[in-house]
Amino acid sequence: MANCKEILNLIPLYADNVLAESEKDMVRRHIDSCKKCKQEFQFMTSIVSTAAELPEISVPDDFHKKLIAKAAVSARRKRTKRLSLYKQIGTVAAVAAVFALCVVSFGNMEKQPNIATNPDDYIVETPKASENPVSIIVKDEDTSEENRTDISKELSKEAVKFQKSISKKTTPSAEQKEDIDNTTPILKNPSTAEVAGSNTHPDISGATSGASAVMEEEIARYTVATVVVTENMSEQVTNILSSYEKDDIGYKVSDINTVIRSLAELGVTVEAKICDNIMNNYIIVED
Amino acid sequence: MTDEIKLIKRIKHGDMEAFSQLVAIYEKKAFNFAYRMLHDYGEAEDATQEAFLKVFDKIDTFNGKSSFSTWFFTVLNNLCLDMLRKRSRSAGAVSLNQTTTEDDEYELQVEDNSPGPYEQLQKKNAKEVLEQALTLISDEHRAVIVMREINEMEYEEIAQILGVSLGTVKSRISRARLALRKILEESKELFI
Repeated sequence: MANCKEILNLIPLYADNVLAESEKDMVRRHIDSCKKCKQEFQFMTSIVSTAAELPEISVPDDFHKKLIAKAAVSARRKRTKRLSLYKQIGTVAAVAAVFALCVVSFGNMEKQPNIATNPDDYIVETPKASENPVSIIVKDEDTSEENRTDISKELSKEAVKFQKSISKKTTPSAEQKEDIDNTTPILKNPSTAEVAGSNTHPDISGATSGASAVMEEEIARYTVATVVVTENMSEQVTNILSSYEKDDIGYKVSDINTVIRSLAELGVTVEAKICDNIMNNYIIVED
Repeated sequence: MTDEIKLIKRIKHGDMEAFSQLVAIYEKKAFNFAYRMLHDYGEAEDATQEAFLKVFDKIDTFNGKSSFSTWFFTVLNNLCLDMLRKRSRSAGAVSLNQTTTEDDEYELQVEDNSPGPYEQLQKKNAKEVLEQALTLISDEHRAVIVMREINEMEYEEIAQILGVSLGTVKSRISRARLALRKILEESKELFI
C-alpha cells in the first residue's frame, strides 16, 4: 500500500495522465480511499486549470509594424554584406587568375625545348678559312627572348670547337692578330693595371640575326696584355709567367689583373686591351 | 507541404510578406510566453521581437528537421532566461542553492532579500494569486509551467525546446507544480 507522501509526488503527473498504467492504478486506488490525498489531487488539478485560463496579454499595437521594419533593415544589410563579399571574392579570384597565368607562362618558359637537343631548328654557318675565322653567324628561327640563354649555350659549343681549331696553329694568324690589334684599347698606363675581363660567353662578331644581335650584349671580353721586356728583366718576367700555360697566342692567364700588377711592379711596360675573338686572357711578351 | 513550410520557403527567397504572415501566426503565443516568463511588458516586447529577428536572420539554416514552433520557442525561451539572469545579477547578490535531484539534474533555488512569498500574495482571486505565484518560482520551473499550462505544449515538444529527455521534463513539471502548490498553500481556499 502506497503512502501519502509517495502519492503526493505522483499527483502532478497523474493530473496530466502521463503516468505508467501501474502507477496510474495505484494513485487512483489511493485517492479513492484517502480523503487528504483526494483533496490534494483536486488542489493540483485546479492550479493546472487556473494556469491554463490566465488571461491572454494583448500584443502591443505597433509590435508587428516595428518588427517588419526591423526585419527589412536586417535583410538590406545582409544583401549589402553579400554583395560586398561577392566583390571581394571576385577580386581575389581575378588576382588568383592573373597569378596562375604568370605561373603557367613562367613554367612554359622553363619548359622550352633545349636548343642543344634540337639543333635542326637552327642554321649554323661555320665561316670559311679565307673569311673571318672567328665569326659565327647564327640564324635563329625562333628569335624569342626566352631562347637567349639556350642560344648562348649552343654558341659556346661552337666557340669551343673554334678554339680547338686555332690552338693547333703555331702562331696567331694574320687575321687573328689584326683582330687583337684593332680592338678597343682600354689600358696603356701600366700603373693602373686593373683590367676587367669577363668569362661568360664566347665572342661572336658580325652576327646579324636578331638572336645573335641580342647575344652581342652578352659577349665576353678578354684582356690581352702586351708586355715589353728588356734583357735584364726577361728572367724575372719569365719567372712570373712560368706557371701559366702558353699557347700560340701567348700566356693564358686567368688572374690577369694580379699578373699585370706584378709585372708593372717590375717596371715593365704593360699595354692591355680588351679583345674580342679570343677565349682567354693573354699575356704576350715582346722583346 | 504545409502552409507554414511554404511560408518559410518564401521567406528564404526574401519574401517579406511571407515573414509578416508567419509573425502573425506566432506573435500572440510568443508575446504571452515572454510576458509570463518576464512579467514585464516592455521586456516581453523586446524579447519577442529579438526572437523573431533572430530566426529571420538565420532562416536559411532552418532545415525542417524539427518544427518551426520548436525552433522559435527554443530561441525565445533562451532569450527570456538570459534576460532573467541579467536582471538577477543587476538586482544584487544572490545565493544559489544547488541540490541534485533523482535524475541528476541540478535545481537552482534563487534567494533574494525581498519579503517571503506568503507575505507577498494578495488574496484577490485564484488567477491573480497564481500570476503572482508564478513570479516566485524559479526561472526553469516557470518556463515549463508556462509551456505546459499556458502554451499547452506537449511533453515531447517541451523536451525538444529545453534539449532534455522526456523523463527530465516529467520530473521538472512535477517539481514545478509542487513548488507552485507550496506557494499557494495559504490561498488554498481560492482553488478548492
